[in-house]
Amino acid sequence: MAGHDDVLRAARLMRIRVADPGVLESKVGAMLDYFETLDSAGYADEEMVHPEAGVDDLREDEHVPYGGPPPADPDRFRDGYLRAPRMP
Amino acid sequence: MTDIGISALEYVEGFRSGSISAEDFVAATLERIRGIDGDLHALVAVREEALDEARRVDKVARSGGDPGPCCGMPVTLKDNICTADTPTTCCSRMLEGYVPPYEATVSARLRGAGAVLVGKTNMDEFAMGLTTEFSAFGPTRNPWGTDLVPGGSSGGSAAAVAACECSASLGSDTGGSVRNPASFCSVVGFKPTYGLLSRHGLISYANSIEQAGPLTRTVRDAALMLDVVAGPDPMDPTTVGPCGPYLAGTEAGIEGRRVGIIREMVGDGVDGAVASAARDAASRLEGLGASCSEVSIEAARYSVAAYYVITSTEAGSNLARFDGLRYGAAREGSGLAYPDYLEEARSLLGPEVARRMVLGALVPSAGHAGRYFLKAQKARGALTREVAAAFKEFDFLLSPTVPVLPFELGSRIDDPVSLFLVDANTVAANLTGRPAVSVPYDIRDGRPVGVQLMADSMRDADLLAAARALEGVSRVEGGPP
Repeated sequence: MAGHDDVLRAARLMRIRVADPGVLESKVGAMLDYFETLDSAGYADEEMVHPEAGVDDLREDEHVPYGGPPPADPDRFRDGYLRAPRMP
Repeated sequence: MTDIGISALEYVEGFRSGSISAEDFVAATLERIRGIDGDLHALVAVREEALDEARRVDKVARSGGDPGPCCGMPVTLKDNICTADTPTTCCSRMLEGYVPPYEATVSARLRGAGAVLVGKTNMDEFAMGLTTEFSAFGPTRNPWGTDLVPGGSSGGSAAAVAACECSASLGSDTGGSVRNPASFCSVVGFKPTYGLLSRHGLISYANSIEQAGPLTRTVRDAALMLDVVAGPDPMDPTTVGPCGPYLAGTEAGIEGRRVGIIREMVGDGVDGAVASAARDAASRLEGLGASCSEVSIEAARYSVAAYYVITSTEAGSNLARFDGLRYGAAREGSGLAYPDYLEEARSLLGPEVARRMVLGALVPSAGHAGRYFLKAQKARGALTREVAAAFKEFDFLLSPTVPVLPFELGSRIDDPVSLFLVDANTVAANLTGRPAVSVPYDIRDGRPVGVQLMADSMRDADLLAAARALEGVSRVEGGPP
């Protein structure tokens, strides 16, 4: 079973700030404990369901220029470009 | 005085006969919202401009034009369905104030058919929840008792329909999010076959499972909604169909049909009052000429665990896009390294969403996928196989929609597994892509009980006919007190 360190490592991977590691671990741990019920299902030989779509089945990718008015937030847009925060 | 408690179809008939104007009806609906939504908090945005749109519908009709099949009917949309003229927030601080640059296909079709959007409805943040208590903007309360949860995640839609704040609503159903609140608020909730409704513009949570679906006061109203919004969409390659028309066949009845009562959904863990209501419903369907017997779907015991593993995985991927740069609200980032900025941006997500993202990173990861994700996929495969076998024997599968009666706000919010089990009877339809409907059936201890019917894929029209038959023998009389 995944442990305390695994939960906190997953939170770091997802860039989730953890205010109270004990609460997160307890609730996520309870969920993971519940998922262990799958162990008793006995479906080891079950076939996996994989919907398949060939590349020929996909629609053409198409660039659709945005034709609406410029977004209202002047802090985020300048000269048609999205402004990102300055970061080192 | 305008009676806004009539069904959507009664409104349409009244409009077409000239006895109801769209302006009067929408005005009365907005007045109702102003009067009651302070207590219920079913809506997170109200569109006063709906009145002008209703006037335009009246004008089209007066000039001899066709205002469309919905002809000014006031509707609401769950707040994860994109609307180009109204904020779409998923009830998250991450998207607070966000106005999408495009309209969801289902919304465009509904509004294009003459429906008037009066508001957006409250929901669990990013549809992750079963009670609407995880909305960043505060919970919705159940019109049948304001100390009760309305169900979720489309709890705002169900409460709004039950309390006559709209004639119909569109929600989304990933694990029961249309049917569960429909059951708790005593309205009809329909989850179509996967692919029947376009997901273009439905903000993604778990793409392989979720579907939009109508919540209405009658089964025939749900059929009307499907006639308008269902069908293929070039913007969503997973769409299928059509398999309608839907409204035209709703009076076909259930005589001669075989109904399987799912043993695992009426036994252990199911509230006695709820289980007895479902069995009573089956006996009344027998009275209409259906034949009912029990069927076992053993994989249903593992469906909730499989569902949460799979949806957390998909949610972890979908929500990773919210970085405060390309998607989501910008934060003050001066001096922050990119990973720190990401963390700052994601601090806008609520605790349940954060937990699902953590699970979404963990359960498919290299060290744990065999223990969780692969087993969940195999359980999904077994469930699909067993459900397909059941539909060789039966036309419809019956169960309580939710295994418990509506419960008090706050009573389960700190117990995630107890909340998971509320989904026990609904997730099978999502994992297998089948259509399912919750029909109001009884009121026990002042709390609504819904009965669920499920059909084989693309049998949505037949399912609506069966649901209409069940509605005809329902023990529910009238709306909330």
